[in-house]
Amino acid sequence: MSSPVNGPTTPRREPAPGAGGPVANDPSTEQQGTPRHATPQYAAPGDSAPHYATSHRAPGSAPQHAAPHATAQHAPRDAAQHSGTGTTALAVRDLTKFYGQSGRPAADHVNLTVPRGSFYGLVGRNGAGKTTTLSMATGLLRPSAGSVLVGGGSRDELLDVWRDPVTAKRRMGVLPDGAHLFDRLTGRQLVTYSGLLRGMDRDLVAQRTEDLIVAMDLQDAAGRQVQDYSAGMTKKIALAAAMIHAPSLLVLDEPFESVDPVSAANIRSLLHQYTNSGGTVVVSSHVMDLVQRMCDHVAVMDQGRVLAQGTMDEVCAGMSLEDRFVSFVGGRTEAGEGLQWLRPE
Amino acid sequence: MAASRVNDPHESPASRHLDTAPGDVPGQDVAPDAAVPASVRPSHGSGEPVTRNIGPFEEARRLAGLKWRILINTLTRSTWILVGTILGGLYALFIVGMALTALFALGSEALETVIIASVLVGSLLLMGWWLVPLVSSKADSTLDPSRLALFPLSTTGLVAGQVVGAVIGIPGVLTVIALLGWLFSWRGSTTALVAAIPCAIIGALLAFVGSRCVTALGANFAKGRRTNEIISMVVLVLVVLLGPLISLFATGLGQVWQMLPTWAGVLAWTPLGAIWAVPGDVASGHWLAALARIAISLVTLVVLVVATRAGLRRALGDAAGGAARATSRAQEGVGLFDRFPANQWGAVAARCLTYWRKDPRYSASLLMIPAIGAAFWFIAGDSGFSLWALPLFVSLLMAYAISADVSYDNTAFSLHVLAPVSGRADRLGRVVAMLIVAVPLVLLSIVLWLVGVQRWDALPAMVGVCAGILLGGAGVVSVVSARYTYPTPPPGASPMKTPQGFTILNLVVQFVIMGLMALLALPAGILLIVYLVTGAALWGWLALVVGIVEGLVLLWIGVRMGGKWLDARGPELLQEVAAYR
Repeated sequence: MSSPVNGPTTPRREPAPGAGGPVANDPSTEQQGTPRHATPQYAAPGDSAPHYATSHRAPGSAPQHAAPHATAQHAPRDAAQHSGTGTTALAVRDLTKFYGQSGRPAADHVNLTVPRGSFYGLVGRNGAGKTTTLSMATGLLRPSAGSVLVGGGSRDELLDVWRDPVTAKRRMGVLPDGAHLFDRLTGRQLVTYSGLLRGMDRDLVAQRTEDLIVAMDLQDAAGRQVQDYSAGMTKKIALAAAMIHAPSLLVLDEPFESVDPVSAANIRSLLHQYTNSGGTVVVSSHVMDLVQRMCDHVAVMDQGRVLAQGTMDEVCAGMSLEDRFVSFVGGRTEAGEGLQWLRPE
Repeated sequence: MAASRVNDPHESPASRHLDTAPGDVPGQDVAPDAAVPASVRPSHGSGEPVTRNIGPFEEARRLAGLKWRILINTLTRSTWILVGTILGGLYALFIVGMALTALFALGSEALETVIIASVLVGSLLLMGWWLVPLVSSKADSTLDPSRLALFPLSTTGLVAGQVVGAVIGIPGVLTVIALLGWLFSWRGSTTALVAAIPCAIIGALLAFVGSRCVTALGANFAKGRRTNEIISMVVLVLVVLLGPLISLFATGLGQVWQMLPTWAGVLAWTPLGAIWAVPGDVASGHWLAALARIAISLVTLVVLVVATRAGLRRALGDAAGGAARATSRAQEGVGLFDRFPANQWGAVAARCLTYWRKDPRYSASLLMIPAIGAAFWFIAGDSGFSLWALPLFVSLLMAYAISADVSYDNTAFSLHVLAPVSGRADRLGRVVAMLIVAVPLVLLSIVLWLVGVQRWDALPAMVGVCAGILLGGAGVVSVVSARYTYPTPPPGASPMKTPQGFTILNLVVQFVIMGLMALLALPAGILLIVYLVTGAALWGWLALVVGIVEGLVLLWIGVRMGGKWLDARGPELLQEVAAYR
């Protein structure tokens, strides 16, 4: 995948003119104590430019590629992609998971590079390893092998989720698929709980909770117990709980399942605003149309492996994502062939 | 090719499969897109219906087969579950072996003795089958009607399937064995032996149908918001009934022995005992009594079947009821979250305390406390010995209660892993919430003890021992539950539901943990005993200090150690509890 500088779907990640490539967030060179911006770092499109201007670090002190952990043999595309696109929000390296002693791994040397500010779709069939990969990437499932690196603000170094979980997890907001919620709490209590667990100030939590409840259109339900919510409302309140600490990376596993179209549109625009201001969203889905409309980057997984990744245009290569996906994954012609008997009597 | 298949719906399925041999790509001419196979396009031909009513007997057979399949799959899922089940089975087999020996020996006794023993033991058996699903929350959920609601099953078939299914499993098999042994206790009279055979069958039916009836009715209750109150009422009534019984035992075994014939005489005319007395009536020629008792049993059986059917029908019609209901009242603000410190452990404590109030799985464990209090009060008698144990026991149970916390959270625990909550804050928050609930209860039990034994002088020592057990026990559980979890009903499920994979092995571990908790409170306990023996006030006050200090130290160590373990193994713990359904 070459650098997608002028791709129509990714206007916001064009590097600032004259930047000459981003500065790496190389853990080996960046100082821990570097002062951080008090102002929102993501405010401007092309976020890297203002950052360079105030950097306390000598611009030339870092290597000119962003992902120091990218190994060429496993992710040959990474280096090229990085040279054109700002820093990395999430880097998954050789992530592998064996369940028990069974032969085939649920995730097999998965390599993903999610650029900062991107809206990243992870597509695959049922059982392709999407949820396993995302669980490992978010610290919920210990990988058999491999590493996960999470970036933070534009000047934070990449952190290994499994080596420094406390700091790394603070940068992430996660919506796990199919997880129970603390559903004896009211919606408002659940979101508040999620904020307080992250050590946020009580007033800030209260204010953001109300904002999120309005954004999710749950004003009427906020005082009721989550166990009485419909499936879509539950997804929305879980999403709110995942966003309250304003993470720099949102990992959403099947976020739109059973969410009604209006709410889905609202959430989509909310997520787009979030990426426009520099946040990164990773969604998994098997709804191709949705991913194609929503995301600017995409990775295709099947049988625990990543078959393709990059910008939407690169992966689709002029086809629709659905057709492209089928051409990657195959197996379409057998569909329904064994079901000759399936018709109303 | 595809078109010909569509036009020939009477073709057998086998030949259709042959048609779709490899290489034969159907639909090339008719349907360019293979994702829309010819068969699912609207066809107005009328084929033979492939579904048909299979009749209640076949339904029952298949349901029982399902139960068998599930049993086997549960057992083979994990070695430990298998081992635990085998151990539990061996233990039960041992007991049944003893019972069989006793029943066989009974055969050579006088007819009167056989009748009395048969009625008493039989009533106990039925009582066990009827009450165990209700009280010990060990209801069998494998053939849960709400899971079968989508299948076109007749209620009769469902009831029959559940009854046959009840035989499959350790309790059912053991009951059948025990009933076979019961037959031999009538070997003194051939007519009685012959009469015992149908009686055994009716007795078994009473046991199995009654058990299913209680479960079906219980499932309906469990869905209601007032479940807790109802269960608590039942438990309390039982305990109150049990109290006089136990105090009778306390007054002397000899007197109880004298009472047994009277009890048997009464029980033999109730649904519980009637059927077990019939062979004796037959042997002694009391045909009218035998007929009356059979009538009592049969009427009971019919009532149970009708009640089970009604319960099942309601459960089937209400299978999705839980999901669609929105009955909780809206609550302003964030409740307890405003009353705790705005940090991790404060949030965890507020959340846990909310759960203690709102989650029936927690409140169900709280219900045991008044029941135990009532039981100990009744047992106490004149010496009041059991009252001494009451506060200690309440402390132990309350401290142990948080061992199920993470299992109760189930996958909701992922929020703690994701936040990430530091292990120490997680442990501390749960302990604080438990203490807020437990301290008033322990104090109440101490008041009960004071009222009962009137020993104001021993108060400091007693408080010390209770503090030692409660605080130290909370420390122990904080460590252990970070490492070891056991299956519990998942969130939203009825507290009466038996989680899959809970075996006697889990029970043994629970007892070991409780034993450890009691052992660690020994220093204060010994001081209490020393005080009671010597009567020197110094020992009492020493027990108070030792109990509180040791408890606090253990709690501190427990929260730290448990927190460290939790930090290291959070994801593994999450995967473990996520498997509990």
